[in-house]
Amino acid sequence: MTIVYKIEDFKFQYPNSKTSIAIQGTFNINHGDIMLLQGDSGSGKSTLLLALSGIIPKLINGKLSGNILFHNQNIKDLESTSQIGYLGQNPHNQLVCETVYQELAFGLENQELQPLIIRQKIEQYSNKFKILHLLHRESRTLSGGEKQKINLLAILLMEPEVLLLDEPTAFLDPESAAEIISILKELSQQKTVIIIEHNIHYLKNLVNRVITINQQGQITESDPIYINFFPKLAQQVCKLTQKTSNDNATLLLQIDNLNFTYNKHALNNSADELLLNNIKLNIRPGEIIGIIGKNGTGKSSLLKLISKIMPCKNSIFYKEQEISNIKTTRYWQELSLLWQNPENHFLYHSVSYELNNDQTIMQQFALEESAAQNPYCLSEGQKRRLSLAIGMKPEIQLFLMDEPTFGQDLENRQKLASLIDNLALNKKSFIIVSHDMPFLESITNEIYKLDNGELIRETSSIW
Amino acid sequence: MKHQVFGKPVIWKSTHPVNFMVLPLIFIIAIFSANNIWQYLGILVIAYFNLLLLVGVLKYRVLIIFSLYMLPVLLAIFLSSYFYTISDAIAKINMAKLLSVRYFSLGLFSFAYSVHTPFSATFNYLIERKILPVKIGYALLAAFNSFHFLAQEFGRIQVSYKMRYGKNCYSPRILIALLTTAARYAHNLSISMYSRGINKHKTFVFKAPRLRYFDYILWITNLITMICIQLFIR
Repeated sequence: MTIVYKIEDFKFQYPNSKTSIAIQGTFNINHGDIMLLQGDSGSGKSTLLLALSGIIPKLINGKLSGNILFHNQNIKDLESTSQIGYLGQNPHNQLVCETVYQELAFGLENQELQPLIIRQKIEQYSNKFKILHLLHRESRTLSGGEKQKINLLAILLMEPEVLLLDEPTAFLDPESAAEIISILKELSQQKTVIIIEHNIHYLKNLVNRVITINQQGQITESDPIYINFFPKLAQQVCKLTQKTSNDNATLLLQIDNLNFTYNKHALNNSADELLLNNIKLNIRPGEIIGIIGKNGTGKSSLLKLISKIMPCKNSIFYKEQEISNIKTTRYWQELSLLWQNPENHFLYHSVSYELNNDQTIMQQFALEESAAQNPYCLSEGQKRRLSLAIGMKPEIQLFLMDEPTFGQDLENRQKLASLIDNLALNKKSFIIVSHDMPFLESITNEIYKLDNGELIRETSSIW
Repeated sequence: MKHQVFGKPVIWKSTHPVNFMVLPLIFIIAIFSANNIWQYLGILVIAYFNLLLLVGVLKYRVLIIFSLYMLPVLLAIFLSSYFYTISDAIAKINMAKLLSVRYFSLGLFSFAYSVHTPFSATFNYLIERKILPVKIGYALLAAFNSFHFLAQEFGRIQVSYKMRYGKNCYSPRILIALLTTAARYAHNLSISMYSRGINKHKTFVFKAPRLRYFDYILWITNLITMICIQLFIR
């Protein structure tokens, strides 16, 4: 069996950081391995992936010791890393060119292939990925999921020997994620694939090795047969108790016959042209509602309409008052919108500044130990909890959350779920847009699916 | 449809991107050489028709809004040049009028061309013709493409601030948050370019267009028109 990577006592410390990431001992990755890399937040999974791709130390400087050998050659000394394909976590920050076609061609052009071959390859792969309709779209107009597909395809087109994928399904709806995994399965034969993924249920039939790194840098290998690919989050109290007790409560938010389209010229708003068509939804105090749906179906637009970021008339009522008649500043005193990227909420240089040095809130959100830290340097789980804590005011009644579990490991999702549950027990309501079905199923009272503009109550569990 | 997509992929509009660099140069020289209001007006009209010829449809709304924003600036230029010129009243008014119209012409024409220039096509052309090095060219292209993303991020930061404090944020603090986002964006993008093997010997799937006779004729005609304006409109 050919050894592709040999990792020997790898240790890396980022510049201006006190903590370092260390992998103890020697560890081999062989040709044909399809490996799931697991570990707690901050254990160094992403850093290891960057080191395996050669980006550390070529683009990211820091204190590096130990060796990473790629085909027995130190990765630092490799002149070209064209055999290694790396896909980063955030799809929005990886697109270089203006159109999808140019984006897909970019890597192949760098391989100095002839234009005719490039076109043939793009045609072949776009057919396989079913993205023909996107080819001449501007990259910036794509949804997060579509961007991730394009990023992955751009890497696959280059046919590298090694694929390093950092959360490839994080922005994808379940259908697209399953589609991508099946394509990966087909294309990963004769390749070495290393994947970091929190939604491990997609990988059940894909991986042949599972590696776990702990905070001390110790590596343990498990047989995929003994791995639980469907870990369940603990069912929250609120989900079990609220529904029956709340049926007669007054409505906090009522959406009635909401129609919406971005196309101003749509004729009479016919159903085909509407992004949201006849949406009806009632939310009572303490209720947690989950919304799922494919990428680009209007989930985020619905949140923007509810939060009055986009105007809407005669369809959304907050405490029985039409929201366009409520002054925005007053409405926003009782509403909190949490963006997909928690960093959009940070303004200050330390956690304690962000939270006005409020010890009670820091304790409630398990942030007291990170009070002096810069918010941008927190782990993904801490960042998410901080963004929730920032929006936390006693008068807030309704929380709108866009993909709150993005980048969160199981432990952090569990923490977030119990936090939301505690708030719901205090009569705070939540609308959570997410692709994370296990999370939604553990916490929500009801799940709705946005499909072809219509909001349908999801009764069947895919879990 | 498939053949249309893959047979001849077109990214260049029929207009050659170099026109968006050469024509403004001719007009800028003409504006600085003009010395009466009719000459400025003539240059603006010619620049307008040229732009119409290059892009087909103009963004009139944006241009009108820009013109309205320019009004206070022009008024300030007019007043300052009127009050701080040492001369008789008529000469002062003439000088103030001339200066305001010059700035208006220069501002409007530069803005109109910069709004309508196909930057992506221009950068691609410059990279392919090796006028710009690959690394710098793609970095500029990516920076240009990042504006939309950063505008969205700015909107989100602004909304979260309003929700938090109940007011708009005009403090530099919000810019620091945006700068952090921009720095991260640039870092991730450089990783993406590196992992796609950015290479100065790269090939190009799209062929850069060649300059046609039409382009040369357009430049020469404009040059002659500008000289005529200087000579005959007095």
